[in-house]
Amino acid sequence: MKTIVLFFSLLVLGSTVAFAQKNMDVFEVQVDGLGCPFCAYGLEKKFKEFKGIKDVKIDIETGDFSFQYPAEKSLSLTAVVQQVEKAGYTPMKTLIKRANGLVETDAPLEAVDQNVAGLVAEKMFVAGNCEMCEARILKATSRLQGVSEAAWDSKTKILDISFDANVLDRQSISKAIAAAGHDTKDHKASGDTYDGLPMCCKYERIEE
Amino acid sequence: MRQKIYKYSLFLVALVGLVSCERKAPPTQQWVLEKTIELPGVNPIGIGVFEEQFWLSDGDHNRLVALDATGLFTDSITGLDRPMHIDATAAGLWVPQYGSDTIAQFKLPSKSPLPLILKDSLDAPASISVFEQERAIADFYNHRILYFNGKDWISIGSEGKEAGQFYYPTDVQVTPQYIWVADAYNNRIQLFDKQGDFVRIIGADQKMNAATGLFISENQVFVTDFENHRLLVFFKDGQLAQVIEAGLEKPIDAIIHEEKLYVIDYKKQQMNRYYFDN
Repeated sequence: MKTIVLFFSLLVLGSTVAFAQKNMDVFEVQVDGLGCPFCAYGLEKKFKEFKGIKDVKIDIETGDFSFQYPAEKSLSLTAVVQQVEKAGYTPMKTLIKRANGLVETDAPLEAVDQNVAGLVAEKMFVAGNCEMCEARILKATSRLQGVSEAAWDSKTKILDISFDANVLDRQSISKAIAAAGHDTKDHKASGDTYDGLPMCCKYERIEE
Repeated sequence: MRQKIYKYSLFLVALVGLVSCERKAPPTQQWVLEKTIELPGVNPIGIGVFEEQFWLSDGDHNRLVALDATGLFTDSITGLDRPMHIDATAAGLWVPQYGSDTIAQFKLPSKSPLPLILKDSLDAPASISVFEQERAIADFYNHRILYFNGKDWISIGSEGKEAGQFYYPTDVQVTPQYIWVADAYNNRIQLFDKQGDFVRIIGADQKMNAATGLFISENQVFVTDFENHRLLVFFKDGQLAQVIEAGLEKPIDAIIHEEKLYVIDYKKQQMNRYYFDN
């Protein structure tokens, strides 16, 4: 008799778990720049506080960040990317496995061919501190149409960037980086954006 | 006349030599790298010594690991939630858990955690220091230090950049006279008396980039300058004694044990040992 009761209890429990999982969308985000444990663990902690979120996991070494969220809330990919960015992470790739079986993902822009005629290489001073800053700066440049290659050095604060001068110019690059939260000599990040950076990214601002 | 000029020249040469010798006088006492101990698979954050074992918090892997002086792993405690800067006393290990806002005590060899009961709530405790009956906790997101003087808990500091304020404190140490705080993202060290009153700032002129960990010895103050890949050594009056860069990438905590300085590196998964060269 006890065995039968246990069997049915497990059956009910299993069904409940399966039902619960069926009603959850699964989010997998590849994040970059998790160099500071105080920031990374803190952001993980803050995500755990979102109402309805479950199974928040982050692997600091690989940058694999995942969580589940109620399907009924239809959290969009754009909203996830914005939320992750707002929390200080830099999402490189986002994948959503919807409870109904659909899969959504974002694909990065294709880099410009190295042999394109108008390709120019420039150096630009970009304020920042750490690996999280580096990831954010490079993400901002990678979103721009026409960028071929970019690298930022946290010691020298110099961004080496090559881009197609037919479709992009230095000012647009500088503006995009400032919009992501990092001062350049030509454009400053807004106060709100700067304030929203994680504590390890609060660099010394460029004076006027 | 020639003799006079010669004598005068000799005097000048001697004087210049004396001045240049004074200028070049090297520091006579320095910490020197002696050995690097590899910690494969461990990203250390905090360090403590209990019964000749080094205990390291491995926040990335939610555990503590123990090793002997040769670097041989001897023990571990798993199932923690982002353990940070730990402390070790004769009573065992004290572990702040950043992810669960709790402090656990382990009376080794038992691995059952005993919770530290607090009336106040923490938000990401980053460090605990235990000195006799006194306790101090770096309460990271609340930008304060909670200090127990043996009788009462008091809250020290608030969010800000002014003297006596904090911007994400990550480490704390109680000594017989003071409470020392790694005011991480204000890039400085602050010390307070046991009433919680501000005493002094150290290292504000060193352009640190995240002062994440500290250790106070009898004569010196050791500060890990996390993003600048170095350890700064100060005298207690705030004067810089030495900058250690050799072998360090992301130094995060330090300790003195049996007259040797041990510095753990979060990124390189290493523990460096230094000796004091007289």
